[in-house]
Amino acid sequence: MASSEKNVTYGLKFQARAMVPFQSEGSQSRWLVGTNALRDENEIQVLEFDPEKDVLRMAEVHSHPQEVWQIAPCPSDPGILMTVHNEEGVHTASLWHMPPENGVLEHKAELKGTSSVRAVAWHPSEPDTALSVEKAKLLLWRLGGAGAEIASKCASGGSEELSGGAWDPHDANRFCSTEGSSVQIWDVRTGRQSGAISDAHGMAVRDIDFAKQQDNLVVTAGEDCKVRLWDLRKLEGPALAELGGHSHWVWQARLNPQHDSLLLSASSDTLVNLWYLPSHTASEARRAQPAAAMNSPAAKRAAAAGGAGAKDGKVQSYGDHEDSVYSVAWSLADPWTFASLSYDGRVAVHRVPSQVKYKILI
Amino acid sequence: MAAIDQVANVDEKTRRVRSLLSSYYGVEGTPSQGGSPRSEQSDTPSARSTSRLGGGRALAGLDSGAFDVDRYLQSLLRTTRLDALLAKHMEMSSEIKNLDSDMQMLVYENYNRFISATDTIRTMKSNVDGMDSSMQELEKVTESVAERSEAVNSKLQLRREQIEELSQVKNLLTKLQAVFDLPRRLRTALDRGALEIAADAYADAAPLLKRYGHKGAFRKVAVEASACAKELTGMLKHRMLHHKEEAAECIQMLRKLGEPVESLQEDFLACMKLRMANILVEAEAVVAAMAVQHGLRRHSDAAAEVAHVDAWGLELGKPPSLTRFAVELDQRFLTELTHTTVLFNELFDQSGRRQLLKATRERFTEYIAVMKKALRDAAEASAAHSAGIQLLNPSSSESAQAHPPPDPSEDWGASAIAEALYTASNDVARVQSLLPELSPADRGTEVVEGVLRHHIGACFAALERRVLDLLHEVLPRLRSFEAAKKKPMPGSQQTHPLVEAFEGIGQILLAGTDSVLQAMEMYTKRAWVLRAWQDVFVDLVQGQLQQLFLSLLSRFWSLSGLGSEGLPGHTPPSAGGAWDVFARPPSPEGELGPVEAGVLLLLARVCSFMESNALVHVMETLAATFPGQGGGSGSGQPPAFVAGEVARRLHMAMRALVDGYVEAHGRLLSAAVRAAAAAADPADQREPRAPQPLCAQMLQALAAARDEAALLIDDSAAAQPSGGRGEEWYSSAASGSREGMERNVARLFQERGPIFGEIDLTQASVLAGITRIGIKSFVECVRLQTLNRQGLQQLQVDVHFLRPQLRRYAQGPEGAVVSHLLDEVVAAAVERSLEPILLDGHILDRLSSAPPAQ
Repeated sequence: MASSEKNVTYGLKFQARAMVPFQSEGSQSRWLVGTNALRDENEIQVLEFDPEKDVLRMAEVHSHPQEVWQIAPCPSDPGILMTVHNEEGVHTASLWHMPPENGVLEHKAELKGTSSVRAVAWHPSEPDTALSVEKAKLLLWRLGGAGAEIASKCASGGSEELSGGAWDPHDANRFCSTEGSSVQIWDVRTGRQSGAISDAHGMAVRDIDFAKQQDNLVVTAGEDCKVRLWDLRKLEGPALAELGGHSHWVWQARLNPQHDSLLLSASSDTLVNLWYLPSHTASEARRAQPAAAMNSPAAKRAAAAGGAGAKDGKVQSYGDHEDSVYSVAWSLADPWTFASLSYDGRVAVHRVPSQVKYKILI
Repeated sequence: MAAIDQVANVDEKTRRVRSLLSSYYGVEGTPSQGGSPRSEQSDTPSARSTSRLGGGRALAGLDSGAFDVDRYLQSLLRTTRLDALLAKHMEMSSEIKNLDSDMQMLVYENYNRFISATDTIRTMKSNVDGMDSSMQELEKVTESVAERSEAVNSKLQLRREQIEELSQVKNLLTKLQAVFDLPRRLRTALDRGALEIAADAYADAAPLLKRYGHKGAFRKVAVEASACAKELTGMLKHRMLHHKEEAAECIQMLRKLGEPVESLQEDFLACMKLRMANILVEAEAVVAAMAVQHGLRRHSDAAAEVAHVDAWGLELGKPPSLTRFAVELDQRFLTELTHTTVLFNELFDQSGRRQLLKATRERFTEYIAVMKKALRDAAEASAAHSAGIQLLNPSSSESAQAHPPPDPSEDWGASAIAEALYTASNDVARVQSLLPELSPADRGTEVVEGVLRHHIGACFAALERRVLDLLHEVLPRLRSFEAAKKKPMPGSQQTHPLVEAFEGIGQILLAGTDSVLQAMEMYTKRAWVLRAWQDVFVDLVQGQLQQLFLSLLSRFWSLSGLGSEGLPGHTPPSAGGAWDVFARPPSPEGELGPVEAGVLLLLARVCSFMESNALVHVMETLAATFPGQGGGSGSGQPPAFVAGEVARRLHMAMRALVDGYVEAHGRLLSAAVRAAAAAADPADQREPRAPQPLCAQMLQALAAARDEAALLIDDSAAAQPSGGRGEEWYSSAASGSREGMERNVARLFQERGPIFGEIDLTQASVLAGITRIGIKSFVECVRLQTLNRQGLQQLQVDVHFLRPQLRRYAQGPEGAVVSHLLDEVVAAAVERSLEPILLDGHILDRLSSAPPAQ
């Protein structure tokens, strides 16, 4: 199955850590990639994948003064993005305006908190609200025309070392952050912590991602080489599923935006793993099929197949990176396409094997 | 003018038709119609002139009685010009013609209707005339039918009455006298105990009483007689149930008394069932007591209820004798069964056989179950005893110490069970001729097969249990060993618990399977036990042996906590039967937390041992014990013991466990690296003086892993494979590593390449794997930092210090990978530093020669 697939890669000039899916038109999948070179001029590139020609090329390039640790494009306005960047060891978050043509990013505001910023996230529905994760608190920002101001903050007052987080796409009041080996669930309205998965991983949690179709389903990636699926309603028990298959830290895990049963994990053992998890996402079929304008018998069949017949497991390992893979991203244009980024600046694009695709669709 | 004419023409036509119709229906000459044209003509000369011109009105007037032809003609002649007159003439003549034809048509139509009406009337008349006669005929027939039926009725009435009367009289006369005497006779007979006479007398009179018992004087007689009969029946039944010998006569008499055969049968069978059930209950209690004595179940009071325990072969303080139990049970139960069946055959005809079968089948099934249970218990108990397991109160310290590894001379209870089986199946077969419907011979064979199956399962399950017990003891003993190591006692050279456990498991697997197989062989020597299914038996032994291997494997999986993910279709097989009896009770410590890395290595080593040593040994023993037997070689079925498949699974498990071990240790290293990175202060401006304490920690962790690996992994085995089977795997592994070397050389030129390869169960490979993970984590941590010059140089010192030290853990091709990773640490540090200024070589040498800071 791998032989039929062409090896589509693209090389960046510098090392890179950050890659996110980017809004695109038509069948062209687009991603934003930011370089991570401490002493060089960094840039944010828009990469475009043409599925017909099987070519990945750079569509736009915008220079970014500092090294990029995270990119967060505004979900509603492709011209606006936030980055977390590093200068002299201090991580800061900024709001940028990205010109439609190549050129310098226009600095709009700095999300200036009190300490190093670990991560930023856009509000799932309000385009003028964002959240930044700092050492021991979450800051909620109101991004007006003039700049950014702090709207509220969440802090439990402890001495946590928050490392990242994700906003629940189904409930705008819920934010999950990661800290050490645990995951915290925050109620953004009250600013309080509403729950936690205290030992999500044997070692530090590297990443957390929400399922887009199914409520309460999250996936975490950890330094203990594992990927785990959790139900946020069952915080006490063990994880819904644990996926091994990596021999070093797992840096990112991403659930497919259309099909919760597809999961990507990126690890510093240079592998990208694609997982197919029909049993934990059985209800996805019922939810997703109407959206895909499928008739009901097909949806029922999918639900039946997902519930009983199919088995969870790794679909494929992609070994076309030679350095640690820090980022994977699904395409927003085509749910069967994804890209992965390794530290040496190599971006590889792959498609979900067709037999898995048919298992989900039919 | 022409247009007006035309309009007038149309007008005139309608008028004419109307007038024709009115004349036909006799309405002409009505005063209003007649009057109007006249008044018009006389009163209004202008109107007349118009009528002259059009002629319509004049025509209407033409029909009335007052119309004066001459006057009209005269006035016409007088007032009209010649051409108009001629026109008028033409007009009139055409009108007349029209009128004629209309009239003709009307007459014709009406005539037609008249003719058809007449026709209809004629047919009706002829029809009515015909019906009259048939009506009369019908009436006649009905009358005759009524007459006949009445005649039949009256004749029948006469006969019926006559018959009834006659029979009544006859009956009344015949037995009247005897009936009145009946109660007295019954009573005297009963009082004197002459039941037979009473029964006869009652049987004679019974039909009469039945008929007239409700009438007059008879009523009293009937009541008394039936009371006596009831008494009699009760006495007879009692006698029948309690004196088996007299049962036949009693049943004869009861039958005379009019008891239905079915209910007699039921009573008889119920009584029999009760007796048999009593025997079985007693036997069950004995079985329970035996189980208690065997130590299979906790104590119960059941044994106390049995009266003569010793008769069942149960003596306090002595292991129960199974054969004696079988003999006793058969004697009691089967004798009873035979007896009853024979009696039943004598007493009742074959129509009741179904009932008999139903009743005996139930009991017989229970009997089989009791026998099976007793034998199974015995099988379990002897297996547990031979394996040295206490099924109850598993006190972990004692069970492994108190019992040496299984003795090959141990017979695992096979001879006792074989003897008991012999008794049971022979006895059961004796019932065959009597109750072939119960297929006792088949059931006997079934018992033999079931018990053997159970026994084989129990033996292997007991072995498994021993292995698992050892494994579960490792953890607490590891801890106590660690504690003991801290305060060493002179003179006591303890073996490391991991080594001890490994050796113990090896012993059990080799010697244990040997001894079980030998015990099983004993069955094959007794040809009667196996009869036709010798091959099945051998298959069974082999299958259970495979089950032992696979079950152990699945326990290893669950014990290791690795899950079986990545192994499609690998679920712990549910063996059932004896395997459940010997299943280890869930222990709290087993489920708590991750297992220690050492245990993973132990499991990996055991898998490897099973794969390369135990499997070969078992195959050889099997071949020696059952030469040329078993295996569905002829039937085309897959053999019961698929060594290749077992080996494959073991190998897979071994790989996963080694990976798990490496991962567990690597995780410790990673954690240390992470902790050091978190503690590092990026603003620290101190110049590097010596390697960081982290370096010492890493080396320490690696040394611990090396010690464990050295204990358990026998590298000489890898170099010189022991068995023929092992050879190919290891040689393939060796060639794999040769390829690996080439790959690594290529990788060096490539500069970058995959760092996480396959790990073999060799010390070098395992240690290199752990080192790789540790250093890789180091790289990752460095990449997350932003370093100043001092930080960079400190890392440079660290790497310089580590490089020669790590060479000890990763040699040969692996060394290159580790060395490359160390390079990567420095490379990452340079990338992540604000001032990429590296230290000079000689300063580096000096600094890294200092001992790591504490």
